[in-house]
Amino acid sequence: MQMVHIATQTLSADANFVFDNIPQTYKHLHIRIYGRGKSAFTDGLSQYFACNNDFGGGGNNYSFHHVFGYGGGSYSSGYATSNNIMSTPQVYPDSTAGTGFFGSTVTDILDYSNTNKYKTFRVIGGWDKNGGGRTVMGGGHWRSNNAITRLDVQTDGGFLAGSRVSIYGVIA
Amino acid sequence: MTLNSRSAKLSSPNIKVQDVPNKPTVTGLSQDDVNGTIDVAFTPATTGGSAAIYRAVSNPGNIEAISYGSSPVKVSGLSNNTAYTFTIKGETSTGATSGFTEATSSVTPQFGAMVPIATFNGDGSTRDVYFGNIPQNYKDLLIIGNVRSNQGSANDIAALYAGNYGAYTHSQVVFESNGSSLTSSRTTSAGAAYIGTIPANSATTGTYGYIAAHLHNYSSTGTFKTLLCKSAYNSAGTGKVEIRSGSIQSTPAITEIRIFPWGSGTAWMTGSTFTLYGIRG
Repeated sequence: MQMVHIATQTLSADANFVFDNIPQTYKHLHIRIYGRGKSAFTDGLSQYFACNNDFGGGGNNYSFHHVFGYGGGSYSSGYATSNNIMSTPQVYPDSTAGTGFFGSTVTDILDYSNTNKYKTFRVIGGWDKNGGGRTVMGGGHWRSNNAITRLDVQTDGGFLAGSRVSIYGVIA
Repeated sequence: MTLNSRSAKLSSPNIKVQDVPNKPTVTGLSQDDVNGTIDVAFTPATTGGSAAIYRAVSNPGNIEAISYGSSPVKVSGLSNNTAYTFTIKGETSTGATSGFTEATSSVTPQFGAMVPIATFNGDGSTRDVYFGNIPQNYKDLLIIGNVRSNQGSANDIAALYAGNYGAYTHSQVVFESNGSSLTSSRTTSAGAAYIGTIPANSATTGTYGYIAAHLHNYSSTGTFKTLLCKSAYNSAGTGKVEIRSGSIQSTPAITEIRIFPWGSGTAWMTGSTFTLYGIRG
């Protein structure tokens, strides 16, 4: 796989991420995140993607399924019909984790610039705070034929300073 | 008439004799963030005159670039996947120079964001894969393995030490399937992190396992590192697929990595290979 760096944002203060004017010259997008959220939920916080500013105002256009391991067993969840944002639950540590703990994810968005089909997401990620954690794998789609030119990347309560998102273009 | 240079200098106080800069020393060759560009890093000579510019020339191509006094010289317009050597010289503002250095070792421009750093090939007797002096100029590391251990059983497990082994805690959540059930477990260990179950000596001949281990923020000195792994293998109908997410609870940057088969006295079988990649960002 050959890929080219498009953009990186590292937070110097707590916030979420926005990537605009995403080039349309690649086959796929590859997104690598090192992150931790600000809300308190010990099972872990979600990763959210919104494409082209679609947060559900024009309809709930996202669906997804995930499987989880938590150390004592496994389970799965899904949003088979529709949601207003692409969500991967429980994939980042929350504000109650000890200092220094972060999670990581690797997300691929396939054929993101194709204007004739919906956009497919696949995600793996997780975290461990030496006392609890999650390993998560999932996939989903954004039901739009529009090419993705903007991505909002969020988590519950916003990302903690030090979190980073890097976006790459995968060459066909 | 023969001109006596000493007397000419003494009798012509307005003529300034400029010291010639000696040859600089090349200290490194690296891919620049710009496609087709190699950075030729150097240190100026500590003797001789001061250079106003440093000029580097590629071979092949005779592509020339200059820097106005500071390292590196950025040589652009190079072709990816072609090996180049460089010579470099310092010059005064009037062009005085001691000439070019000897040619450097070769470097091959590769602009992709995923840059191979080092590769290990198993020989049936080597136990430790050692990646040392890991460059600190990437965002993440990615290790991809296609490997098999010579432990006398159907499978073994690959383990990894990042940096000062034993001096930190690693904990992880494992999520795996053996084809008939899904299980998840947690482990906490002093240093060593499991990165994947792999086939071993009694597995089907020719069977090798797949491992991809992502180390995010490995060069950070302020937070813990994350280790996210995928692995899979199959041997005559048995096998495993695993995902592991964990934390290396250590703040120093990771500068070295060891990977070894967990089984006692084992080694990587011939045909095994690990490649360490740096991910630009």
